[in-house]
Amino acid sequence: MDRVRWIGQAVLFLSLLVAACAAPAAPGPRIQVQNAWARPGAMGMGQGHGMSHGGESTSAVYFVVVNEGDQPDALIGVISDVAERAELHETKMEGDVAKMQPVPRVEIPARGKVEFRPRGLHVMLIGLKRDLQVGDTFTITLRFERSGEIQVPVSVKEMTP
Amino acid sequence: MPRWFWFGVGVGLLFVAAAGAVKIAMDVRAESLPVYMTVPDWPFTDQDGRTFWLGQTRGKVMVLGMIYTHCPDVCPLITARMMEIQQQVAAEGLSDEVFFVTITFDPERDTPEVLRRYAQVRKIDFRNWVFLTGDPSTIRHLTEVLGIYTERVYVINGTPTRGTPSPSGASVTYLINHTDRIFLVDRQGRVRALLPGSRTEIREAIEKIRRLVRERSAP
Repeated sequence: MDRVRWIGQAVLFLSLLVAACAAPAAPGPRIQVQNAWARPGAMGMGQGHGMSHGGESTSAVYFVVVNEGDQPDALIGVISDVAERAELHETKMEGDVAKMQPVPRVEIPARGKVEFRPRGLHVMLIGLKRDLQVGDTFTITLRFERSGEIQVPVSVKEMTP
Repeated sequence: MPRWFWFGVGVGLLFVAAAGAVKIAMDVRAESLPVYMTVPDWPFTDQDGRTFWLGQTRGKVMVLGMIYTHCPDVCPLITARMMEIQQQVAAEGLSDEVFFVTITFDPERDTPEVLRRYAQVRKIDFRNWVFLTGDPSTIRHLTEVLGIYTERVYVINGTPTRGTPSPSGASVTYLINHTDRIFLVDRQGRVRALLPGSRTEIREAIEKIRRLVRERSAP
């Protein structure tokens, strides 16, 4: 009788194990952020110019957002300890003229990726609180609409295109 | 030999010599770079607060870039390209022949101190590179002479807007849309190549710099 009960329990355990392995991943976005790097920048350059941060220094952060999930997501904000503000920006080339402007959100498609790179999408750090020198590292927090906040380590490089 | 024979040989040799001279001249012409414009000899202020006349670079080949230091994306790439060119120029032993000049088109924010810090954090080699700011009207005229398009775009609370805003507690700054270009200037101060700024191919730039260095006198 004990033997029958033991076999029954083993079958039940194996069944549950197989069911757990076979179950599909939870629906939704699955976000990863890869290869984050930033440009060098000098803290507190210059003075204000009658504006809230008209004289503050800047840098840019680049990375790749990968979404392996079956639902889209959107990057809606950035926080960083090394700058007063961090904004999502995009540079567009029109002929040989570079035009940059803020963007409120960046859509991350399901099972897709979005590359933040020079002359394209980037995070603009405004009002650096410390110098960013080649070899330094710091952290930014990316805020996604569905995935919430993700902390990302960033290394400073003078990378060329 | 009859006299007419030697006369014919002489004419033939003259013809061959003339053809050779024409070919050499055509080769030189084909190799020489076009002349676009002359860089004016106007005064600016360097990263240490000293007056620097652009004419001081005459006699050397000049690599000239225009940037603003608050640009986080394209201008750092222009500077990085120029750094690569500077390193390659040094590797070829041409540092005494080539001078690098970066001029801001945002003099209101880019003071000498700002330019110095911008360069220092990038570990720029100042031995043959100067960063210049200056009188806003002088810089505006320089952008016109060089064909550098600039347009301020004010950003109020994260939203770009045309025209000049009147700040009233709002978060206001400005970005500058601008031409992405690096100039190669010959020893006479004439622009001889327009390179695509942040997209400049180092090999192409160095090849043209070598040609300009070889030009000891006006072509």
